[in-house]
Amino acid sequence: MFRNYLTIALRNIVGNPLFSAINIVGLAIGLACCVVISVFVNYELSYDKHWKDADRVYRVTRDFFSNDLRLVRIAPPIGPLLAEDFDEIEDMTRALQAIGMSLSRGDVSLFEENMVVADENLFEFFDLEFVAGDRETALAVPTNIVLSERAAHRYFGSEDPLGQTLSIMGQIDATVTGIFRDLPDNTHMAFEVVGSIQMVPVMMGPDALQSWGSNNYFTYLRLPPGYDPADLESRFESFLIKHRGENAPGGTALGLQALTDIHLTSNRDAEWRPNGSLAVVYTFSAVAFVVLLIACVNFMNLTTARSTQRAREVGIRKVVGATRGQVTAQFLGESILLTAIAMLLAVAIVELSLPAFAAFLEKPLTFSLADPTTLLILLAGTLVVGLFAGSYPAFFLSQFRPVEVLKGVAAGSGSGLLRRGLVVFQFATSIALLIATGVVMAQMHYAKTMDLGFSKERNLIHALPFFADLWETYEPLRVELEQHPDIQSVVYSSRVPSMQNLDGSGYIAEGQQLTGETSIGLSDIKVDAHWFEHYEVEFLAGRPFRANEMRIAAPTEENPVVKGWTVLNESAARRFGWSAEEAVGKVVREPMNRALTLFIDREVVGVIPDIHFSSLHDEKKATLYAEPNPRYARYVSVRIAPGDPAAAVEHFETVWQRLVPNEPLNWFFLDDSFDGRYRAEARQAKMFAMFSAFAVFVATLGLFGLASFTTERRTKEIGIRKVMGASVRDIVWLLTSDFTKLVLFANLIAWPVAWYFMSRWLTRFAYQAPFAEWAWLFVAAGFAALAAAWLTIATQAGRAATSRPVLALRYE
Amino acid sequence: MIEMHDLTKTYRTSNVETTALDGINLEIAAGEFIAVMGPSGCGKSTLLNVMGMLDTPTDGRYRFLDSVVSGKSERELADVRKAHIGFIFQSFNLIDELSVRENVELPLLYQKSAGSERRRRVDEVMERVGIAHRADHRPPQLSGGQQQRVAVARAVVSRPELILADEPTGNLDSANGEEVLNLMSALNEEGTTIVMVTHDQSHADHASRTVNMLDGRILSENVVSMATGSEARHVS
Repeated sequence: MFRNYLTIALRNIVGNPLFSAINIVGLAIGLACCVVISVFVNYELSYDKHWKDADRVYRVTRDFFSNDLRLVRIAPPIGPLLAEDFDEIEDMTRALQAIGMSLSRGDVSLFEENMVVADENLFEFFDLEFVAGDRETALAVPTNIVLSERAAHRYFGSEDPLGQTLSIMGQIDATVTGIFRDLPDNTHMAFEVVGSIQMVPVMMGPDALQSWGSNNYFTYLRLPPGYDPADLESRFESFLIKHRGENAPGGTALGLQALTDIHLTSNRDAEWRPNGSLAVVYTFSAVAFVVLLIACVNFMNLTTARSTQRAREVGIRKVVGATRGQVTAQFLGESILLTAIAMLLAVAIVELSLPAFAAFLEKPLTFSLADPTTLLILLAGTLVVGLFAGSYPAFFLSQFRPVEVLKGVAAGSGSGLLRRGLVVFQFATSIALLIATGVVMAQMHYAKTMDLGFSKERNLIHALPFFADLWETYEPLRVELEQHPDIQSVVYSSRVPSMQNLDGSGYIAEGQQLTGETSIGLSDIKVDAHWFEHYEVEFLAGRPFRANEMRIAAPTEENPVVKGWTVLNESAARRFGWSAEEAVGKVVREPMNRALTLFIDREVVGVIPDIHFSSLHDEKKATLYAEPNPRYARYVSVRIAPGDPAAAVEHFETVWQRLVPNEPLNWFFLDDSFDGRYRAEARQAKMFAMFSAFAVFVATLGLFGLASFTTERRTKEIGIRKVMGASVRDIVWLLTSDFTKLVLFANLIAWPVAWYFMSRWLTRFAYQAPFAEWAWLFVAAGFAALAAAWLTIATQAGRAATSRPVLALRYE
Repeated sequence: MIEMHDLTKTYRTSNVETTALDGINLEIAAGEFIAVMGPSGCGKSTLLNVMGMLDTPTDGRYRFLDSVVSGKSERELADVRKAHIGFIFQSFNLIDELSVRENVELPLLYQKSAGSERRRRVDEVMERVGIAHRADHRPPQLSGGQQQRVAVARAVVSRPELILADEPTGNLDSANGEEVLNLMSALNEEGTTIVMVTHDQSHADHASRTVNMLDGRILSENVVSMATGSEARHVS
């Protein structure tokens, strides 16, 4: 019996090439989308699960209320104090990203992007595997350094690095005491070079590790098995009061994040590197599922549409003794067989496309049939999809009554209403996906082209050396660079646009007492006198800094209040209750010590508009601009004249290498960096576009099949109508009007759904493309779907309409 | 074998009620060859469908092989069909995607008979109807006469006690039609009960009894005495 089913199934597949091809190709695309996305989702879910005791490791976070900072890094004393105060903390470790460090060995000097200094127990805490050296003592000495295999290769090639020396910033000679296996890619952390945290006091002063203001240390805790982290969190407030006084909880709070949740759910300030997003995982899972669903709908529609072809067979089988169950089983078997063929094709598609997809996502995604779990999932998937796609046709076909179908009474070609519903569903989802793609792209375009409030073009950016006195490096560099005809201006600042600016502190308006309420949290950016001119920032009121306002004396016991100057942005002025004009001439007081005895009184010399400093995800922050301060990491911005930048860049490199020989070149162009802020979105937009294209393609494929069957079924009718005098246009309209109505109806469903989801998506951006800029997409997507449907049907209808009627009538 | 008492079948659409069978009383003994005649739409095919349990009567009693048919489930009816009844249709109703052999084999598959037994019986019956040489062809490759012989082979392969034939010669030329009738006569002589709907008096002459129908009723039954060739007419 099984052979009989198989025979008839295979002959049906071969005997109806159009039907089979549409179903197999559609299902294969749907299945391939699902497999690829599952591989991606599975990978996203695997982050940080591989670490030792991953389920009970937590990261400590710190929030600052006054300037809305939600940090994943905390001050260095907090970790040890927590471990001291709370017995349930089994273990604690800290790591500080040492940004802007250069390491050199002989002539080789590299800018090290992935260096951290960490507690001695970091390796044991996460159970990192050592390939050389002793894990327990590797960081026992402050000048020891441990490298990943990749970093070791970078500096030492095939030599044995153990016991060798690397110079950090040309100042500290560090001894390599261990080599660890490279971190896997599926972790939220990123480091390749690990120095001892004890280097911090050496480099930054003896009290550096006691500072509560330096919130730069990733801090991880291990809690006992089964312990509820909320228990610990609830006692953080009293911890802050104990160590920072009664007022501390009003300004700041500590929290815990489960290690394994960080990648997909943490979207805080100052992460190791951009994390993934649960929303993206959900979205792409849903979209892949939709493509598969559309393919399943094709199968249902086409199978029931051509049911007249199978009706007689069902009748005969029942006459010779088949039960309804047997007929159902037969058709389910057929759909499973078809799905299995599609799955084979899908696996081939996945094998071919996954490397490109992985490269596109920059993730090491792999797919192997040798893995029994994968194989099992594919088999189960085939079964589930086959049963689902076949369920309705099997139910529908098996209910045919032999008397009727054998007598030739039209068995009906399936519930017309349901099939129309399914076509509407297919097109509604396709249209919604098209709109979604369009909105994502419109927002990208908006972000890239909107007026940021400053000019980002032709700006070469380089970090200045970390240790040297700012003026020693900067001034001669500026003078030499500006001599080149292609270099228009050179300025200095603590941050450059496109970076997240997390620097900030509390200020008060002159004449007020500093309390929790009067303190106004502002971001601050240190700039030199020409910065506003360089970035072409307009002034709402007042003027830019003057050169003599750039160097001010530090307040002392003898002279506790010194005079300074500042430029505010509009939001900052408003925070003090001033309009732009009112603000000019007012004084803002900046406390300089915890005891609140030393101040700088800054006179507001100018007010600028809020400029989009980082990405459109972030709101423009209330910001105070002030003179340079050598304590901060610093950047030089070089504006190059329009035209080919090569000569200017070359000049920059030559001058840099001469004036700052120990510092490797590491420049970038500002607009590239800005584009980089939207890379995740740009990638999502591309993926969206791809999936929408698949969805539309599969839906159109189905419509093509459906139209061809409808046309075939109505061949006789068309013949008669033509004999009666119908024109080609009449016939084409006869056949297309029905589907046209369905596609139009699909628009009515797709529009509100797309609007709902996309306006929610846009809320992720502080600055959103206005509705007017993407409203046309709704109409465009509708027309695109209609055009696809028309083209598909019209080719069929045209062929039927132009054939000689006698051929159609001879059909009977 | 078959007892029908006051059997009625009506079809109802939203505003029209059609009576296809109107108080049918009919008994058929095992081994009979019955021809059912009458004009188009008189209820011949409906009678055959009800007899073959492809359709259920609206009213009345139907006993088949001494058991009451009404009230049996779809599944039980399918079991009775596959065990006892073979069908032959005017339009052959072969499955185009299956070969001659596979078409003939179909009833045995649903009866779950063993593979070797199945092959033996299929070969035997194909030989008998003279279609063995086309065993691996598909129905569309055969002539009408050949197709109907395949249908006959399929109907008899499971050795049913009853064969229901709905105008088996209707689509055939006279030579082929005669051949099919001879096949059926031979089966009848071996003891198979046959009920055949036909339009053609000469074909009805092969039967031992003719049932004439009009407007859903049985008008008359002619019994042909095979020995004398004379007719006895009962008017009901």
